[in-house]
Amino acid sequence: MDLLGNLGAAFVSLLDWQIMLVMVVGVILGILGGAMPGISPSTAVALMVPFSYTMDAKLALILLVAIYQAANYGGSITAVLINTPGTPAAAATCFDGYPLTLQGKAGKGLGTALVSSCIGGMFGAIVLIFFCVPLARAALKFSPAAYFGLAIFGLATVASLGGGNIFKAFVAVLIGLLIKTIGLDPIAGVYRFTFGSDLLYDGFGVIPALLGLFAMSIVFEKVESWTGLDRVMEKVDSKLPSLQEFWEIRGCIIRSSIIGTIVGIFPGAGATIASFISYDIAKRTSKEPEKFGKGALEGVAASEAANSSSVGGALIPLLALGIPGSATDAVLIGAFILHDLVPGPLLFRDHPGIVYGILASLVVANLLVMLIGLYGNRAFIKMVSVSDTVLYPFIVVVALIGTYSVNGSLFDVASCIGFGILGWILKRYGYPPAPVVLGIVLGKLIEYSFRRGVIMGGYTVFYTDTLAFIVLLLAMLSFSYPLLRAGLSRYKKSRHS
Amino acid sequence: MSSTVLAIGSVIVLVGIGIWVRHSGMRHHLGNILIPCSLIAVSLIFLANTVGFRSEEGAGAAAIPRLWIFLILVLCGIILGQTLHGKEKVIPRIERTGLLLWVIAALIAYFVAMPYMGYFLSTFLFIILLLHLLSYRKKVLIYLIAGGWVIFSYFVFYKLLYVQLPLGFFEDLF
Repeated sequence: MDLLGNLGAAFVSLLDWQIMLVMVVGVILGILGGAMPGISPSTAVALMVPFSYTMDAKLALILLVAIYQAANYGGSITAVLINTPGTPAAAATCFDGYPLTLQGKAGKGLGTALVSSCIGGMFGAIVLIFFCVPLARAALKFSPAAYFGLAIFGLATVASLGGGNIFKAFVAVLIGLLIKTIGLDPIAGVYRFTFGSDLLYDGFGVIPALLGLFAMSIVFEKVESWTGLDRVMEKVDSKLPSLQEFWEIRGCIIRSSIIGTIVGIFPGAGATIASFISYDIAKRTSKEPEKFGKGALEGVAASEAANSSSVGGALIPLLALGIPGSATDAVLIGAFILHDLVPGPLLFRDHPGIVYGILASLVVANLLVMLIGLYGNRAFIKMVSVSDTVLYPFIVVVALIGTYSVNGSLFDVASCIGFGILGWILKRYGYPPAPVVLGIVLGKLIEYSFRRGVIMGGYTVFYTDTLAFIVLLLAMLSFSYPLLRAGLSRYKKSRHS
Repeated sequence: MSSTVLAIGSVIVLVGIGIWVRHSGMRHHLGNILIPCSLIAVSLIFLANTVGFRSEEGAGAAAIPRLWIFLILVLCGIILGQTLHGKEKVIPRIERTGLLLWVIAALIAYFVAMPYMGYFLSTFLFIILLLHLLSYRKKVLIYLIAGGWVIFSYFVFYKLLYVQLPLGFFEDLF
């Protein structure tokens, strides 16, 4: 009754015109951001974080969560129309979405993506509501050592599930963690790694790091291989799938929503992995698997339902434990910090209005995505056609003014540019920038939990505290599993040859 | 002082490693070798810095940084080993090196000029420069886009959101 009562009050509060306006703006910005190739949901949210600074905390977080949810649908627009996913999670949508466009059925592809995204997103939101509240209550009893273990487990799974070289992914996490130690030590009160500069007394801000690593680095990456060619968008036939066609793919949508939500819960797994796993399972279980890759509505539905439902899943560890479940969650932690809030179990106790507002707004945002997507797709297609030559300079100026607007500090602007160059170099050589952000965002929590744990129970607390021991063990397994799998595969190959 | 000496020493060593790799059979892995070497060098400078931290019972100020530094050193060593054993793929050369350097130079010039020229003028010029560098063909539109953004940021950020953007020489006029 506690949960339902709070949720009911939250839904009623959404009827306020400011909140509605903010959600509509968030959904539009999210769809646009997600549709633009090169702008991921994390970049879209990161670009808006500084501008939410002057807003009320609840409004700001509702706006950012709406962008996050809508961006996952937005990626399907260019995936279907020009075979270029707007977000990495929409890559699987290309497999069947673009063939539909080639057959003159772009409307069916977009319509399937829209409805599947909305149903998936709604499912993820409902699971979020019913899981994160009890999890947050349980988390209130976690010791600092257990929290340290959980945070390390979160970082370990992010690095190991991110793909690519696992050692480089872990180095990326450690770079972020080490950067976060610059400045004032939170417990002993000493200045660390400031090298005599008072500019570093507060360390590097989260916002410059976010915008540099997620937004600026993309611009450098694009300029590196600049062709100057513009996207050519097809004219869209607006015929949506029939009700019969939707009825036939209902099982696929529901199954993919479940898969996406579960995968989204695991830190690091995220929307991309969810969409590919879901697509693969949909193909294996389909009555007509030969149609996949040639314009199967099931293929589009599987990918989109999963990537949208993963948003709700990823928000579970963020809201309940304060551990980001995805790169975009790491950006959202930056937004929480900006508004002097700490995501986690205490947020439910100290700011229930904000938490339940976010939960309720996620449900409503999915309905808005459906409405705005249905009537606004033509307009979005026109806007997404804007030249990259214009888009990328705007990303730069928006990122820099956003960075400056938080503290009015040119040092932050310089940091943003520096992080942009760092992010570009790291990405170039296979070090993913998302774990760097996660390290920066979680660094303080990890250090604080570690040192409090040691002060309270000595170094042995990490194996005498059962939960801490279990999650640290899981973290080690998460790190070693890809290595063991690679080793086993090499062993099998050598036996074959 | 010691950090400066270590930093200069590290740069010299890294340059030496770079020159040696360029003239060896591993020249296609120059970046793959220099990145972990640079991370090792920075980590060692940070490690030297931790010696000066006040020590305490239990986990003091140096505990966590040393833990991260130790892990970076180990993992970078493994990455270097992978590269030297040929397990790393060759990173293709940058296609538009010149353009990239110009864009970075424009960005740095924009940042340096902003406190003197003010946000509005420096941004106006920066957008025009960047669009020219990226070969945007519609000349009139370049000025309209740059002017439009300046007007937008004046009304939205400066007036509506009260963001105190630097005005530079124009401080006295506004």
